[in-house]
Amino acid sequence: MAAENRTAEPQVIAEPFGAPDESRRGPVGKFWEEARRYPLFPMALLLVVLVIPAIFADLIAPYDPELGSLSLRLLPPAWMEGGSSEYLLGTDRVGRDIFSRVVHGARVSVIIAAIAICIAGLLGVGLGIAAGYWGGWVDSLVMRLVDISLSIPIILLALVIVAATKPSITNVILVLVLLLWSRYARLVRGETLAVRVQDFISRARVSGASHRRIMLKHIFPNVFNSVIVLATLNVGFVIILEATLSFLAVGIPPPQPAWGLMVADGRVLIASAQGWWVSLFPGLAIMLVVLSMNLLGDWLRDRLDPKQRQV
Amino acid sequence: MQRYILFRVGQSILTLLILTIIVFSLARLAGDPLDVLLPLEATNEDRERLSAAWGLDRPLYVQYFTFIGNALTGDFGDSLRVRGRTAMSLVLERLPNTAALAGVAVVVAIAIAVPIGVLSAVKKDTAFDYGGKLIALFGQSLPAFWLGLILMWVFAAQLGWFPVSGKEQGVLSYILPAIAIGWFQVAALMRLVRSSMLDVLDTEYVKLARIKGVPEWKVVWKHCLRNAAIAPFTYFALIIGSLMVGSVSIEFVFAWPGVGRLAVDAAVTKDFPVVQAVVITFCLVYIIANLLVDIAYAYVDPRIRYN
Amino acid sequence: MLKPTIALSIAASLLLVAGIACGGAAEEPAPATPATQPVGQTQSESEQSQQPADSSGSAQPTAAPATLAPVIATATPAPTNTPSAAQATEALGGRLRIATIPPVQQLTGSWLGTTTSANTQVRPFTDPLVHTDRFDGSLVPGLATRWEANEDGTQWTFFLRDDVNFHGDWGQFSAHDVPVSAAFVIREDAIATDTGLFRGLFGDNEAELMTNIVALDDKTVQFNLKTPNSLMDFFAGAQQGNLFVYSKAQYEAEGIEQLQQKPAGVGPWVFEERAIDVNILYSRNPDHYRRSPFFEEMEYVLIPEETTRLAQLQTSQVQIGEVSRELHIDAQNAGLKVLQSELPSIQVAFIIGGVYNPEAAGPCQTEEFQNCFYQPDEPHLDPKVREAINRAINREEINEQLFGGIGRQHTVWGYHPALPGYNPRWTEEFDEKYGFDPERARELLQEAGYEGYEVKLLLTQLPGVPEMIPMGEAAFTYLTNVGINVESESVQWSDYRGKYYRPGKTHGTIAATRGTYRPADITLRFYNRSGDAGFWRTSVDPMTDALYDKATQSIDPEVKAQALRDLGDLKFDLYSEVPIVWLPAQIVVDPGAVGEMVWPGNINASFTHTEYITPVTP
Repeated sequence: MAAENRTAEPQVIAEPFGAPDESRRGPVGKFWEEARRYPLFPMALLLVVLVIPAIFADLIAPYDPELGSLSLRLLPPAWMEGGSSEYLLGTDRVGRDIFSRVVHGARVSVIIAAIAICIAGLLGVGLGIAAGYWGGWVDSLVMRLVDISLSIPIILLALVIVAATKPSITNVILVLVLLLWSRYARLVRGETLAVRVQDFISRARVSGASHRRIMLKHIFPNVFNSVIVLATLNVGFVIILEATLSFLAVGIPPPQPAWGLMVADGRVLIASAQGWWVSLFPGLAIMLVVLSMNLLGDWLRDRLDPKQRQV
Repeated sequence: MQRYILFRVGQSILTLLILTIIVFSLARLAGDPLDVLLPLEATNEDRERLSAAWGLDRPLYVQYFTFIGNALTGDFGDSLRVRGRTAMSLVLERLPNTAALAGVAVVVAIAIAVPIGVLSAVKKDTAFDYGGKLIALFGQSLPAFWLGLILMWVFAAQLGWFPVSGKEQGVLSYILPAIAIGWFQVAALMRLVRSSMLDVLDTEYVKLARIKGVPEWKVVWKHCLRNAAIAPFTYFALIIGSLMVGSVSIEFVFAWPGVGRLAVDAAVTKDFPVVQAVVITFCLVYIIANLLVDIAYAYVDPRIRYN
Repeated sequence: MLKPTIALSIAASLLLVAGIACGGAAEEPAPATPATQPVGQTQSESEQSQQPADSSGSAQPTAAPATLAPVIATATPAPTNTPSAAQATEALGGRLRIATIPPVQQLTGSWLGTTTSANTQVRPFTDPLVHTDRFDGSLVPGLATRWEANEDGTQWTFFLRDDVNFHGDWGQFSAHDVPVSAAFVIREDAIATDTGLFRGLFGDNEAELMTNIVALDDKTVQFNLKTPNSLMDFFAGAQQGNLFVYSKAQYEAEGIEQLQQKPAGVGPWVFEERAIDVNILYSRNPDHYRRSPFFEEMEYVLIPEETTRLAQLQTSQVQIGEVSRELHIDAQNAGLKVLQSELPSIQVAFIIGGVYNPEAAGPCQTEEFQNCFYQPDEPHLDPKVREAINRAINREEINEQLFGGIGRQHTVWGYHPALPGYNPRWTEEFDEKYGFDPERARELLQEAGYEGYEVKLLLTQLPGVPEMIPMGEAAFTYLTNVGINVESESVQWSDYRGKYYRPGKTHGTIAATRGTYRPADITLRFYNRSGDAGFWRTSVDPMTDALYDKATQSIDPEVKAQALRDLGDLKFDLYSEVPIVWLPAQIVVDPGAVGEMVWPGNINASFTHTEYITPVTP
């Protein structure tokens, strides 16, 4: 489940460093090296599949994503026999335009990922720094909470929350926050432990800096990069989890356009000649976004990792 | 060392205790099992009768202490959905199925991730590196149920190489669900192997081995991998809980009689004895796995034994 | 240094081996098809049972259950199929594997679950007193060869077969097994569909029940009811799934817990074993009085995903499967066959919440139910709004697009033209009063002063009708199109009761539901009555409760039908629900393995009468 878990024992995981050995690269490698220096490929993909649709959904989508007409049910994509040029990617089980839904779905994905990761990140960073910096009972408490969070099956948590309230975007975000915060807390605590013992911290302390100031000005900047990397890698994970929640009918409620919901909803027809496109296109969107977010995350990781800077 | 182990065990017990309160409250929050299990025709009298028969009418704190008292003896009560079975017997019946599938999934993940991780470290920044990365990332970019359904449709329904679902057909039954679960872990695992390898490749000790004329394959696969393997090991201990329940959608797709499905069905039908038994069992598995890893580390690296 | 990778691999391999050792046992025998038909093959027998009503001289339409046949006159359909118990037959096929959705309640005791669970899981291995005909769903002899009621419907006498043996060594079935089996239904922890009803009829403890259900002799049992009931044979029958017969001897020897592990029955199949959420296995009873199965064994294979069940069928690993209607075309393209039940099985409708008005209808019968979900300013109290909702929805389109056109007209919730109490006027006037007319719907809302009012559309799903969610989503569009401000909420069926019904919050909601094909008063019991058992309380008129009581307590079929008709008139004219379609139950079979399969379908979409399924003979 963990998208990225280099959090347990940071000291074990070293980072790639040093300039790549020129002699080991072929011509293909050179191309990739360019792409790596500026991850154009994933960035372009993200722009096309996620960012632009999310911002301009209302302009791009030709139809209302929530309304359809049963008489237009399960039209195949435009290029297939029986398809209509008005419905580029075909229509779903209730006759809604899949293209419009995929476009609007980008917005839902962005909102969910952004909010969930921000909240989980802030919570995790705060608790992680506190635990690592103060140690003692603060550390014990935070780490016990982390243990609990990691050992409770998140799916059960989602089912219970939804049963107690109702399926909604807010609940999906809540579930994600409950799942993700502990990963940040673990990561940040580990890094804080490493930073805390360094000379510049004790020098700051001696020169009379408050604990709050040390945590904010000295420790936070040192853990920030790893957090950004983890956050980037988490975006894909969030989108995938949203789909899994929809699979169990506790995700985003229909008829809202969310990619995970569309994939889960269309899975009955996944192998059917009558409607494989219903889950394929949102599935492709998920795949492209997750893939490029991960490539971006890897690139960021190689660029920003604190180990590299400290070395 | 003994003190350290005692300390960790004490911590684990505390964790478990907090967890019992959380899971007890969660299970009650999920709703009233009578709302699910009673027929539509049921009257208020029926509801009161069942409430009394199942002890649901007692104050919550009484229910909690009964639960704790019984749980200490391993008794988690009778399942409300599957009448005539205890909650724990259902969990224990399913646990081996889930554990076996998770085990095969881990093997699959290792089988894909380690070669890719090693190759992409050794051949860093070449096409191998990027190609491998793409293969690894692909498994993570699809919802597991989607991948599972497609694997099932292509390799079981169309090609007939594997059984469609269930676990009756021995080793063949494990392959498709294990790929669907394991592939998802490949990306994270590969990253760990890759960075550990890069780390190890750069040590004096490896340089020395190279200078001494040890064949390159031996340097890589024996000396380095052995040292680089410790990070993935930790990784699996950490995700052991999520690995087992993370496979829940796959258990549905392949009709696999695992704990994940049991847990979901229990949560949906408010069968809280089973919900409680599942969560406590998972917490135990997680705690024990991590305890073992921590202790193993403490043996290997005395610096970890803080305090 | 540790060798974690190696250790891990070894551990994983061990797990793998263990897993295989545990799960590698079962193998699947291909259904054997014998070359010749055995002597005594009962080809003619199935024809016989088509006309059970002939001998009873019932005046009811053929499709009507015999429940409604005059009760005062003894219902004595001649036993239609009476091979003597000694006449053992041979199986023609091997193991019949049926892929089904895992039932929520998995049970061997009929008292532990609802109609559908009992009918699918218990009915194979044991019989009720009264059986249903597999062609027309009417009540036919089961363990009772005939039965009669007294004048006022308080005493029912069942005359039983004396040639029936329990499976295993539990001896012959006799009248003494009946009160013991009935006592299971009223147990403290029982949740059978009619546990509450049985407690009211026979008493709420075993001792009292034993004085009310009496074995007059080994083959006669008498039910003395505390309140009159015109449908006792129906409630004691297979369709309601309450009173299946268990062995008194086994109960006394083993106790209830042990009995549940491997209950002996008197059914055509013998219960062998089950694994929760995996399978249920039955073997053939070679000398069943009605029909010994054609297959040696029957196994339910429990599979949650639609696509997986279809793939099981396509790879011939199962011969019969429940597959969603959406995949029927794919199934047919793959050479599979779609069968449907003889009778309509499911009625589908939208239920409008918050229509009970205590100010107009008088206080509801149970105080604590928040005045029967009454909200004084609820738009749904206005029949015009309800008509608007009805007219906003395009039933033809739903039927064509979502149900593949197999649905039949549904005019009033609970009522089917072949069941008593139906008024042909509803069929005639339906298009005029309920026809799709969004313009008129807008006008009506305007007239009522509720343009753009807010409604909460609950999207939920029940087994048998996977189309309920898309249907709800379509309704979202229909209602939005006439200017209603729709908010949708998806809710698990299991949460509906706790969240909406019990707290009295159904006002302002619309929810899809589905019901069974059975006498109208049984459906209305928990939809339209204001009383305790009411589930939705969509009674729209003060007369509802009075008419309902008249219908259920009256023994005279004419009076009963008239009361039901009057009640239906109210519902029809006041638009109390949004009826959509009547659907048959459907199932996909492998035509290379399954010959004939006939079932009435009156059990919430499930199939029954599995003992009559024939293998394909060359």
